[in-house]
Amino acid sequence: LGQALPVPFRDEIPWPGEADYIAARLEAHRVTTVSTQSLPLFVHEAKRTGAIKHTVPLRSATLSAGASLPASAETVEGLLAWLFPHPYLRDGSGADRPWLQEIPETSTAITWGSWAEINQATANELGLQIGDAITLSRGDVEITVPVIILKQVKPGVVAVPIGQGHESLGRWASGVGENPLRMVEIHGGTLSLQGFAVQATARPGEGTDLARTTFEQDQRGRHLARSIPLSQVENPDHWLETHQQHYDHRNLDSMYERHRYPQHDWGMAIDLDACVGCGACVVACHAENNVPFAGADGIRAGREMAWINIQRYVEEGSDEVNLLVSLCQHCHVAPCEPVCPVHAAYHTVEGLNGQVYNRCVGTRYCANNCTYKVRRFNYWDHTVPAPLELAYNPDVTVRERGVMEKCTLCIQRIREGKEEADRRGEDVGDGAIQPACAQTCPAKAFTFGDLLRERSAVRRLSESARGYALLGDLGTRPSITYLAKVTRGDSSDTEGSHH
Amino acid sequence: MAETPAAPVHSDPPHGTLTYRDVNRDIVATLATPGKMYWAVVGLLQILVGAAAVAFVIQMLFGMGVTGLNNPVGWGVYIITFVFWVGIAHSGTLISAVLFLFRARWRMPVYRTAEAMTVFAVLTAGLFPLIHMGRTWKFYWLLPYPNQRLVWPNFKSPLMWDVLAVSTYLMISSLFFYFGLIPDIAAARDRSTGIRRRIYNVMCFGWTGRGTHWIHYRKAYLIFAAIATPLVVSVHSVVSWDFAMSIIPGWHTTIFPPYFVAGAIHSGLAMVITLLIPLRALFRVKHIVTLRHLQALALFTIATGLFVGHAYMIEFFIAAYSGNTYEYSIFNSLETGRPFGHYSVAFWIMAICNCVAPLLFAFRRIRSSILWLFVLSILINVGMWFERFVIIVTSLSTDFIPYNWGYYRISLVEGIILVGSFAWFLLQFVLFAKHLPTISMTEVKELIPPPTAEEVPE
Repeated sequence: LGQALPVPFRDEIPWPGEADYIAARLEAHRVTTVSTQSLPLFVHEAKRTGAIKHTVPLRSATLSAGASLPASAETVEGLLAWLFPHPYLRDGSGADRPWLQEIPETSTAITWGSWAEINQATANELGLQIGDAITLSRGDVEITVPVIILKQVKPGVVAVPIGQGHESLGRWASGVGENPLRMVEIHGGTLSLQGFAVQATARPGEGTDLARTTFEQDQRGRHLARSIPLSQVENPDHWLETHQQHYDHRNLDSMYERHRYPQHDWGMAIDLDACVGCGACVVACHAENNVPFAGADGIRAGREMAWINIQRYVEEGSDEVNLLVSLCQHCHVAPCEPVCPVHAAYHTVEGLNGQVYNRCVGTRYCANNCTYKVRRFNYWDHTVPAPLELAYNPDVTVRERGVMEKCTLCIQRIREGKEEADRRGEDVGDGAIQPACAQTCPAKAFTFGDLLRERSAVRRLSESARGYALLGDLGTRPSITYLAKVTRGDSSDTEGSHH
Repeated sequence: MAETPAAPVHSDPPHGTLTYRDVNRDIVATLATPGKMYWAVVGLLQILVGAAAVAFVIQMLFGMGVTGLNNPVGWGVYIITFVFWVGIAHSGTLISAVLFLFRARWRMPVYRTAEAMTVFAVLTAGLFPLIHMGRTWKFYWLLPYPNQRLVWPNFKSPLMWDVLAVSTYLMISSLFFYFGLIPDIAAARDRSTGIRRRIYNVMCFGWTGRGTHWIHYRKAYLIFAAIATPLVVSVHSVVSWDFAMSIIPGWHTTIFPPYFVAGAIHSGLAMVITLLIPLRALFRVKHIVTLRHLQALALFTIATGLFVGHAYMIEFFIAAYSGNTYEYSIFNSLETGRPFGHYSVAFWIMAICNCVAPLLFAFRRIRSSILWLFVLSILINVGMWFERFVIIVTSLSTDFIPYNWGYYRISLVEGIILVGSFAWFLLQFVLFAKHLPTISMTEVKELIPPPTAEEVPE
């Protein structure tokens, strides 16, 4: 290119050719890294490790938790800032992983961005609603993020997660969110992530890039995420009555003939008492099943692709938070099956609701009829840039645009488990097959197994008094049994706390 | 009743002072070579249709993401417009077949236009099941043909019932339309020359007006009318089952078949009025399609509007009476119910345009004014389009599990295709109007005394 320029410009370019230019740039790097290696060795080392490492001068400081905490939020001018590690991105090292950006943070359902959590009272004072922008400033540093309202945050406090706002971590992290660490100051050798004052400027009506997977956190008395007080566990009749768990939903009539399962009827029990909402199951499902990520735009458009999600419900009069892990229920009387015009949604002989990707023509009637709304439609061809396609699981396909997909209870693992047992000449052991979510859950909330097997763990759990079918009164007869959370106080999902 | 055309005033059928000669001359005159304005309109409509075709190709290439659809709202403008056009079609068959069996003579000058509206509306509607599919190129899997995979379509699915019902309707109404046209094609043939004459001759099977021809014609017409009549009720009932057979609140209700059929007649009558008003002015046939005919159609919409309004109120009553949380949330809740929730504007457009607007026709002054007839008929169709919007989108957006709630907005691609569907419908109609008689000469002549020997027209 330099050769093509007219003569006066050409002479100003100090490098005779491209190779010299690159060598000069690398030499500049080598000098600043104070490396004693020769240039070729330095370059070789950089290529081998994948990076040129510069040492940044460090200032030492100790992290002090409460040394500078004011007595209460009221004494602070402005809002009391509380920075906390993002549950998935932690200190920010996870920000370049699209899966970690895509999974909604359990308390706020926010993806691909930062936010500021404030109490409803603070929001009223500032005239803000969820999604409005707020500018937090301390000294010269200011950040503008969308607002979320959580009652767990005290009035006068603003909690902001750290981990976003990268400039050079990578393509997925850049341009996403804000970095509140810029507001942290070191005083006398100590720094604190909490307890400093920030000025808050409300910007109601200013659009933000808030990408959330839900706008609702109230289950409206629908008994979706259930909890039973510990005091009633021994004597659950009253609780069962109010939650209509007396009748066995498995025997509700259907006009269709019952399916017959000659060998296995796969099912799962999910213990909502164990679930802490960490989201590991969601990431595992993405990894195992080549689930595409929708990105911030997709989430904003309401086109999340995650096959499993964690729903968080808070009750009006209590402090209880009830989590519901939502995935395909593999209904024995599935609403999605009769309506597919081409038999892409069908019932397998082993109790699963199957989805034949090749057959799907994309009418989306199945998703419309699903009462749990767990079906995911491919609105685009979700191609990933290289080298992310190397992360695909070779046992599972990648679906093209126009095709519906959903949780298959990791049918590829079921098949592999059965083949493995066959090779050994035995029956499949109870617990031998684990879908990705079950395998990954650190709290062991999932129990997968054969409902037809007499003493399987899943059979035993599904018959527990805590066990219920989600929307069971609709007669869908799900294969998934949820075990209600046990609460310490008097509150359940329908009654506020009495103390 | 005061009208100021050049022709004499006519009241109830029989049109006293009309003669066979008048009918032949005036109606065949509509087929005269059109002026530039006509071709400009045709050109504009073709451009709009072309734009819609381009939008559809873009959708096929990139995916359904170009629409506003999402989880949970998987159906939007395309299915709304599908039901809209199928609904409009039903009124045409009602006017041409059902009113024929009831011997309602006032239908005679208007039924041909209505029947044409039916055929073109079905042809328009039939595009949308293809347009809304994620993988349109695999559409043929919905057709039951023997294949080496030994897989049939799923006949339990209401979408398959749609395929059968709408294709049956298209076939029957097209044949009915065509057979009814035969004597009129012959009349057009007799006034044409050259290649046009030969085409018309083939189209009318060499009709000569012999007695036996007329006998066969009457028999075939009666049989087709009898076959088409049940379709008026059945086809839209089947379309309503797309929703009624589902489980979600606001869809799962037995009232849909009569509700939808009544709504279909309602919107079709309004569309007939909308089409006839410009047609009779441009073609100067106000003495054949008179104000009385428009008034009859308008009075009919009062009845259908009341029926539809009653159906709306029943839905609300049953939702409240049932004590069902989910039904309450869709209809009666002050937070999420249809009149108050996210789509309340759409709801009130629907309620006012469908139920209140036609009541104005009870006033003689209103139903005698061409302007009022035109405006209100368009408002009725606006209301009917929004009725399907309200049904489809509100029920999908706020169903059983609140976490999953989400909202839908129309996108540019969907808007272009929606407008394109109207352009496609009008294009077919405008082309038809200039090549085949839009008013049945055959049947109008039944309303007037036949000519005496001295008056026989050539």
